[in-house]
Amino acid sequence: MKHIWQIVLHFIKPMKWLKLLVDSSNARHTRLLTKNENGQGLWSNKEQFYKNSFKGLQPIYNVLILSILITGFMRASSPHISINQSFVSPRLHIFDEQIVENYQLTSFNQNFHWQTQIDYRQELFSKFTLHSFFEYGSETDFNPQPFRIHNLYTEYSVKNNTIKLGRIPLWNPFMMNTVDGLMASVNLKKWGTISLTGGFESSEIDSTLFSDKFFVSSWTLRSKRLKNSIYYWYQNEKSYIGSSSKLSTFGGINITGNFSWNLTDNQKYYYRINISKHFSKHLFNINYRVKEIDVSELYPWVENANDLWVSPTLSVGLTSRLAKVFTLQNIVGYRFTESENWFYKTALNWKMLQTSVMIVKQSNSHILSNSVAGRFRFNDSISLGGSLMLNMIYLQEYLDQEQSFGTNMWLKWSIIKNFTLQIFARYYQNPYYTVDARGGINLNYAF
Amino acid sequence: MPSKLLIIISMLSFILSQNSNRIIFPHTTHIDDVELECLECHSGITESNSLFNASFLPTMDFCGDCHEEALDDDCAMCHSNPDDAESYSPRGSTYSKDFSHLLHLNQFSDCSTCHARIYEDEGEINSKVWINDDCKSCHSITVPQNHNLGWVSTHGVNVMSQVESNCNMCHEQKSCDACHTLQQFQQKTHPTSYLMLHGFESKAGIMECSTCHVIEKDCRTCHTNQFVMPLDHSNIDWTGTDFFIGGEHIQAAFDNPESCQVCHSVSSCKRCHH
Repeated sequence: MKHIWQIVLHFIKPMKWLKLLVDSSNARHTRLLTKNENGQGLWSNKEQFYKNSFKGLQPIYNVLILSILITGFMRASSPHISINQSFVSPRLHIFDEQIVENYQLTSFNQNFHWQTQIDYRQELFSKFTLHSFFEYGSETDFNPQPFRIHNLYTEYSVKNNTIKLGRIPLWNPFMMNTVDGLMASVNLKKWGTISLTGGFESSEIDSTLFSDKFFVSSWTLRSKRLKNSIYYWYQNEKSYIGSSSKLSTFGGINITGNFSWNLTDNQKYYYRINISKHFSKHLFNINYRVKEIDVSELYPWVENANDLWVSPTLSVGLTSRLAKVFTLQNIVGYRFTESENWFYKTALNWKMLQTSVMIVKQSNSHILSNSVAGRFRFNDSISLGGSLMLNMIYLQEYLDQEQSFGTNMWLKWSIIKNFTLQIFARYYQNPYYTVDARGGINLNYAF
Repeated sequence: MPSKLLIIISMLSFILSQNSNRIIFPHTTHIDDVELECLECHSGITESNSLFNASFLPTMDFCGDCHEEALDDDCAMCHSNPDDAESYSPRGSTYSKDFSHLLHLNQFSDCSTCHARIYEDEGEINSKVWINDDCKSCHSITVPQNHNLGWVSTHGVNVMSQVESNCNMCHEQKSCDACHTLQQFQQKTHPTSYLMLHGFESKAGIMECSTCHVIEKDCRTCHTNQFVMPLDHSNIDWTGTDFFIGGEHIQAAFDNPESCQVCHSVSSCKRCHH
C-alpha cells in the first residue's frame, strides 16, 4: 500500500516527478566502483551511487515533458498503454549475513520484490509519436533508483525519414545502448539510409556529462541479395569504424559478417562471421567470433601484452526439421585456448516439449547438463509451462562431484481480453547456496 | 561539435522541408457510396505473394474509367503533390515483400478480418488500412511453427540466415528489450538453474554475453559486490603453489582475460606479480 501511495504522489507532484526523471538518469551514469584497502574493487555504499553531475539534462527533459503534455492535450489520438505489475517473494538469500551487514547491501535484506512497468505510446499531430517505458519498483543492486526510465522519446516520421528526441534505445550489430540525445534517419532511396545519433550514453556507469559523449552514424545500402551497413561511432572517448553485411550468395549460402576497428588504438576490435545454408529441411551454420579487449591495461607487467588476445570461438550448428512439429538442434563449439575447451549441446523439440543435453569440457573441468521443458495450452485462455534441470559438475578428478538441480513452473490465465494473470514459482539447489525457492505473480493489462 | 550540430540541423531541415507525396483515396466513399466490392479494384490480390510490387493496386487507367476528368486535367484529385506526382510507393516495413495475400485469403475469405479499418479510411494523410495489431489478433496465438521451446536459443542464427527478417510483423523493439535488457522476475531467457551453467557457457564463447550484459553492472553485482567466487577458483592447483608455478589460473588468464577483469584489477595481479 505504501508503494502505491508513493507512485500516486510521484505523479501528482509534477516537479518531484521531473526531479525523479533527472535522478534516474543520474543513477545510470554514476555508480562508482571503489577500492578497498587491498585494492579489490567494491561497490561503494548506497549514497555513493549518486553523483549529481548530470544536471545538464534536466532542462532538456523538462522541455520535452512539458511539450508532450501540452501537445497531448491539444491534439492526440487515443494512447496505447500497457501495464505490467510483478511481485516475487522471498528475495534470494545466498550470502553471509555478516557481509550483507558490513557492506550495507540493504537490498538483500528485503524479502519482497516488486515492480511496475508502464509502456505508454501515443500519436500526436498525426506525424509525431511519443514512446515511453517507465518502471517503478524495489531498489536492487541492479537498479539503485526506484523510478527507472528505460525509454522516453518523441518520434517524427515523414516518408521513412525519422527524427527521435529523448532517451532512445539503440540497437545495431555492434551495440545495444540507450542514448539521451537526438537521432535522425534519412532515406535517400537508391543511395540507402543515413542515420545519425548524438548525445550521452545512459546505460553505462562511472561517467559524467562531459566524459560520456556518444555519437554513432551509419549508412545502410540494401539490394535484393545484400544488405550492408557502415558504422562510425564514438564511445568511451574512443572512435570505431565497423561494417555489417548480410549477403545471400548463389546456391542459397547466406553470409553475415560484422567487422569493426578501433581507430583510437589502431587495432581490431570485434569481428564475427556466420555462414549458413539450408539443405532441404536442415539449417547448417558455421560461426567464428573474435572480440578484443585492451589486455595491456590488465597485464601491464607482461611484455608484449598487445600480442595477447581473447581466444576466438568456432561453432558449428545444425537445426533439422525432421517432421512438421519435430526439430533437432545440435551445436558444437571449440574455443582456441591453451587448455581444452569443448562445448556440445543437443536439443530435441516435439511440439511444445523439449529435452536437451549439454556437455562441456574445459581443462580439467567437465559438466553434464540435462533438462526437460514443456508448455501446454488447455484452452484459448489458460496455459501451463515448466522445466526441470539436473547438472553434474566435475571440477577436478580428485574432487567430489558437484550437483545442481532446478525446476520452475508457471500458469498463465487470460482472464478477460487484454488482461493476463501469471503465477510462477521456482526451486534451485546448487553449490553456491543451499536452496533458492520463490514464487511470484505477473499481472499485465493493455488498453 | 559545431560541425555535428550543423549536420543535424541540415538533416532536420531536409526532413521538415519534404512534402507528402501520395495517392488520395477515400475507401469510405468507394465502399459506402459507390458500393464497390474489394476485388473490383484489387483484382490481383487473390494471387499476390508480395506487397512490394503493388501489383494488386489499380492502375491510373483503371481509375480513369470512372474519373475521366481527373486523367485529363485534375491531377490534384488523386495526387497530394500534383507538381511532382508519383505512383504508389512501397510503404511499410521491408517484411512487406514476404506478405502473402494468397495464403491469408485461403484462410480468411473476408477482407475485413484484417482490414476492418478500411471502413474508416477517408483518404486522410495518416489513415491506416491495416495495423500491426490486426496481425497480432491471430499471430499472438498461432505462432509460427519454428517458435518452439528451442527457438529462444536459435532465433539469432535464424535471423542471421536471411537478408531480411520479418520479426517486426509481430514484435516491436520492446519485445527484444523484455528479454535482452530488462530484469526479469520470471526467468525466461536462460534455462532453469543457469547460475550453475553460465560460467561454462561464457568461457566456451558460444554465447555473446556482452550483447545483453554489461560487465561493470551485471557481472560485478554478484562476483565482486557479493563476493561470489567461480567454482574453479577452489581447485587445488588454481594458483599452482603446490604443483607447478602458475597453475590453472595462468592458462585461464591468457585464454579468457575478459573474464578475469570482471573481478580483478591490475592491483590484484600485482600482489603476486611484482
